[in-house]
Amino acid sequence: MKLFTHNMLSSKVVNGVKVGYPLRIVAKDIKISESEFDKEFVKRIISKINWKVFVNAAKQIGYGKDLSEELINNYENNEEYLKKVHHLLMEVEVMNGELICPETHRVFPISDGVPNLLNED
Amino acid sequence: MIINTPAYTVSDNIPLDENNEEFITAPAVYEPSEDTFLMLDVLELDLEQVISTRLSKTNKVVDSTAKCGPLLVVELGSGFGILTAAISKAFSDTLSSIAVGAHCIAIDMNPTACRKTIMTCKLNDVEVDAIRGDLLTWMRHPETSNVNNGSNKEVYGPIDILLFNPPYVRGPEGEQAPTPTVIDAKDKEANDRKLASIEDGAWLGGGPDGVDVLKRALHQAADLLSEYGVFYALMIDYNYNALVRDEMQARRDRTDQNIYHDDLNSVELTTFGSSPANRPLICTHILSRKVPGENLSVYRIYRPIDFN
Repeated sequence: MKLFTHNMLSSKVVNGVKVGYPLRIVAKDIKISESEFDKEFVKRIISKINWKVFVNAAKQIGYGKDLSEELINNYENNEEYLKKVHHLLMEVEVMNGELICPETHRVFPISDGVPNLLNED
Repeated sequence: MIINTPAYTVSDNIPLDENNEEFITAPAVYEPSEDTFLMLDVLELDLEQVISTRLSKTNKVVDSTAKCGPLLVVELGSGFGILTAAISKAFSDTLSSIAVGAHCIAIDMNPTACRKTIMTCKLNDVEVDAIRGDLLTWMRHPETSNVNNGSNKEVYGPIDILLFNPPYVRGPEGEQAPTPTVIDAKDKEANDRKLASIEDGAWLGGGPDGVDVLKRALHQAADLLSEYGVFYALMIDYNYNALVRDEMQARRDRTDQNIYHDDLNSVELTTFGSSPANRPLICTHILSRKVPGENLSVYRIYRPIDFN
């Protein structure tokens, strides 16, 4: 599970949950893979994510300590910054761990990189 | 060719990657079949045009490149992952001149299918994320979790391309695919039984018109598709007839005097989503193929661009 995907996940499937977003991550295993840096792709994908949730998720798994909760000005032209975002969004993958519902604290396991968001009760 | 048939394998005992131990692919993941290949042909026929005439409109920034995207692609019930692998590969290859790329997420209730999808994608050198989930119930809702750009326009969902080859065969009324339960690794026999029931059940549950699962997906998709997003869904003749019948019934029950945008190839669907009246969907026929015993068709479901 990459952090871009995490940015889309909610636990609204659980009965009684109002928003269920964002899910807290507890990572046991992290895999780093390499993917080609495409400046245009990263620049534009930033507008599709909830930035604050992304930064907090990165911090929960031990990354992104130098990222602030606000997007910096003029990030479009800051290649270093975009490369950092690319790495965290596309190359860092949580292989095993847990996702935790912010309202009910219900745990959703992540195994072999696949989060299980089924409501199994 | 825009869409090439991806490589896949149906054999057992294929290692996921060098760091992982081998796992056995259970035989009951739905194997690629005529319906899968019809979906691929529809993407070949329709996708490039949809990107250049619809999805490119999301480009709000006018800058050096006229390409659109990145696009969010979601496949429901991905099974072997053929469609996800094919579309993901197309975005990194043949479609790269018109789109900057796509992030693909594949959904299946069956854990074996999730792994199979990841494997098929690896075999084709593409990276996707798989989620074990029930249709789109895992996804955040746009109104409750605003992204950075706080515009006051109507909020649309994030999905640009949604693909679904649903369980379309008629089943007894109320029959549901069994909900997968937590699997206990200690009791292997019970475990295997449970897995088998999940796998057998995954393509049941279509209800008397075979369209119950698709209708649930349509309800969710109406809220989660992006403004210009498209939903490709496979149906057989009695599935589509049931959708049209339900739509006509809903119109008769309504008191207003709306004008509907139907024609020979399309029907307006006005009953799906949380505010259906504001954003009706058009369901347009793209391609059909007769196979023994079934007449398969793929439809594109989308919001008309010029609707006020």
